[in-house]
Amino acid sequence: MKLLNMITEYAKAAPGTVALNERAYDRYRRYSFDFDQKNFKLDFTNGALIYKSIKGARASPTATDFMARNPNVTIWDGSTEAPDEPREATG
Amino acid sequence: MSTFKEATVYKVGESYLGKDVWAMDLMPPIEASHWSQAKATTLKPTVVYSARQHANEVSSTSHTLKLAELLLTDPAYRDKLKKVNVVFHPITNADGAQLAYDLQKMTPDYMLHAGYLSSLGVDVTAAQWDTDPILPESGIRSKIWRTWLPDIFLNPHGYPTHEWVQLFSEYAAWVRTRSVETRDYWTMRGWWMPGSRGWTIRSIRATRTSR
Repeated sequence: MKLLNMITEYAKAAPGTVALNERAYDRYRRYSFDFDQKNFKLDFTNGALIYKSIKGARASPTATDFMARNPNVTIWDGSTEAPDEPREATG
Repeated sequence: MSTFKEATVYKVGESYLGKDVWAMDLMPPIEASHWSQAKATTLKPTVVYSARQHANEVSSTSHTLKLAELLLTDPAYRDKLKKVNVVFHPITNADGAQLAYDLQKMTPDYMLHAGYLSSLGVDVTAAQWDTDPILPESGIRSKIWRTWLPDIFLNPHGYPTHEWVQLFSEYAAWVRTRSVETRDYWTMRGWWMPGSRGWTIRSIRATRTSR
């Protein structure tokens, strides 16, 4: 959680990110979460949308991700999504 | 970036269609004649940024290289290299990147989704732990992992935000798998994280159980 707090703190400090996210999250809420709350999650961490493994990750030598495969070495394995185009092009 | 003394740029492999795949290690300059990779990653934590798995997601490479630029040129960022080894692997799917680049010359407003996958039409990481994958670039992430044994492994993606994915277009992941963690977004979600996997009490217990 400490890592996620640091990540969200820096993400929110980036110019324009908060406004972009608020607009995008609001739109996503209207066209997904409000339509189907079972399948479209809105899991926020400090105001940033982050899908976590709620039950944790089970270590497995055949797991595909780096942390679950080698939790004694890699303590965090994360993926991020960022818009490819600038804010004014996002419609 | 290879002109900076903090940067070690090297070819880390090749793609199925023969394109060079590059990586770059950032550390404070090393003056010694001999150097131990094992000690380097033991004495300091290591973070790997392995970008552009899905090659039409261009911002993945852009923002990781921007971070590399800051680490090399901004004294405040560069100072962080005293505390952490940073490894950049800016393009995982080099063949897809070339295809997306070629396609954008013709259709710059499209999502260029043909570049998302590898040259053989499967995800470039599908066989990343195989000992002899058909796609040679599939093994590069695991090769970097084995080399550095990183504490943190990051997989930054981008997504085309100007075009909404149609609900039943068969592109949306939810339609195919009922999985909402991946590409179910037919509208953008700003900056977000589809996956965050870290140590928990449960995972530590599982590790002990698996020994």
